[in-house]
Amino acid sequence: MSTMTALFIILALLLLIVGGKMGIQTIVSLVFNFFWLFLTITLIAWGFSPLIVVTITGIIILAMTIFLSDDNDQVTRVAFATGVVIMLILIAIIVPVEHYAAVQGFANEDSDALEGLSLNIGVNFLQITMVATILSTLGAIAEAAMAVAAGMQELISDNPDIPTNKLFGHGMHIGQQIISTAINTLFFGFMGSFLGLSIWFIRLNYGFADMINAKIFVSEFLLLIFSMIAVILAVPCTAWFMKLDLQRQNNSNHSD
Amino acid sequence: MFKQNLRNYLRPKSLRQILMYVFIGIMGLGVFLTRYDAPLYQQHIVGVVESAKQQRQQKTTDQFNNVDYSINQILEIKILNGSRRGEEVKVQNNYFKSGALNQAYRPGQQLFLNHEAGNDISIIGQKRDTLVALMAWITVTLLLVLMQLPGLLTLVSVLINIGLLYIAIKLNLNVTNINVVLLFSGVGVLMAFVTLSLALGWNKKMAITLSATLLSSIIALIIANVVMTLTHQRGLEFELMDYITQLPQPIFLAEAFLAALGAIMDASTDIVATQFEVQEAHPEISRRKLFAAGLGVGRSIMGALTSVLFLIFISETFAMSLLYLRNGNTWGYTIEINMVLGMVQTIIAGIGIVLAVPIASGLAAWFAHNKEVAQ
Repeated sequence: MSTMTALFIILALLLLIVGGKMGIQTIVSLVFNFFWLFLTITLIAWGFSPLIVVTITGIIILAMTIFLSDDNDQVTRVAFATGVVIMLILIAIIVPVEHYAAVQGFANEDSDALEGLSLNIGVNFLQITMVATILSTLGAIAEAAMAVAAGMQELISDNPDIPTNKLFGHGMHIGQQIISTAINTLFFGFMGSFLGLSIWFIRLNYGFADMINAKIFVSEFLLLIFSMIAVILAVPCTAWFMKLDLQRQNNSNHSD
Repeated sequence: MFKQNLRNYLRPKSLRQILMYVFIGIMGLGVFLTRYDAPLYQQHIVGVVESAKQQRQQKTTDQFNNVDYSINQILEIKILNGSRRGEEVKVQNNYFKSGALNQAYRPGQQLFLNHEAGNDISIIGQKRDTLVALMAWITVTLLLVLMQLPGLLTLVSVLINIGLLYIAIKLNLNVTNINVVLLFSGVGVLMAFVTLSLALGWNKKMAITLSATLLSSIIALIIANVVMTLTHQRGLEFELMDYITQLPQPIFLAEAFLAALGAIMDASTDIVATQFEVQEAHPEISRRKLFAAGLGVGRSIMGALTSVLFLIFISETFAMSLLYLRNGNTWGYTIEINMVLGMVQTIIAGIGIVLAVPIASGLAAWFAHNKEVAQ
């Protein structure tokens, strides 16, 4: 048995034991997310427009991650709406910033890995970088939106009399409680994936000035920065959507 | 309506907040000034592109029938620093339209240049410091303005952790025969301590969260090690890891440990915090019910947290996977070469996250439970 298969079986068993039905849903969402990611790459390799493909698969990945991790309709509905809006806002920021940064494709540091490969494959690598950046923020968006929505929902079910005009402030307050761990999840996650590169930079004595201008550093830096921005923006957006959702609910209750 | 809510929230309410806005403004000015920092770069020549003229475009086809265009442009560059400041030079730039390794330059961009033999000048690369400073400034501003004090503390913890990582890498490079896995997990423990101290303060809640985090991540690391030994690391080709100049397997495990740590902290914090709240609202709650409350929170976040790491690890391999597919490789080979290592790291982290659910719930139910009231 390969190491990956063995570890995956352990993860699946643990998810079943700890999560029960929720565990099965988590396994399904992870497997499907891999499928959608791979489909994204394949469709782009076949020549479909990268930005259109990622907008569609991005929405699907958000839906799978959010709707399969919680059974509360209001929480998932608000989190999903937030996820889609934040993703679109991020696309609007990522496209011009990556255009100016020009950190697409590969750098000289990658030359070992590129040996023997044809690089001139007629695919717009700038757009590929945009796609990868958008995909890497999706998990963070989903997680932050769910945390804030779930927190607000709990608050409301405990205190049904909270005036609607106070809700936004409460949502922001819940955001303040989760922001540190949410940002640190990203920071540690990226630190894990940059560790090899960080050691490389320090071993080769890149100075501060060399580093902050290096294509490869800036490309990784932007990945981290965009997911942090996504998480921060998700907080007010979720708070606002939760408030709208409750107002809508109250209105329809009154008219019944 | 949204505007009004946000404006209410953002209106400065104390002297501290006014000072914060002033500080943000000054930093913004600093970002703007990096456009004019060329004289600070003493090792390289900095120039600004005045005009770019496309010379010729040539169609290329590789052995996989990928069509691309090789383009040649002539740039007029004005030098901004050093002894040749103010001089205008003409430089050629060749690039492919797809831009995998090189790029087109546009007027207004600042570049680093190199003296060649004689008076010739060649391009090293684009100067990106203004963009880096601008994006960092936007993030810090959003964090401080929207998240206020917790945002500031988050920023402080990230900066301290960068410092700790730097020290760890220096030790890794300069101490011979150091145990890399122990070194980075040790630093990880320290980072977790700093992060949770700043997020929660020093109290019982933090002690329980930290214990749950460390216990879960260390068990996950042990499971990973045992499974890797039992399966003889079948399917893991560590020599494929990028940028590695030392024994790759310990770095692989250290990466998985660090990546997992943040998400495990996140899960543990949410679980333990909820249990404390439940306990406060219902002081007579039994241990079993308190444990169940923790499990409930954990179950709903474990999937999303694993997805966060999965998407980070896989996005990194996106460009390379695409390159493999367009170079006539099969799907299986492309996944094997580019994605398996990242997927295994995500799975190890996922194991840690799932373990944190019963561990954090159990520790909090045991140590935070208020016995006297319950009896």
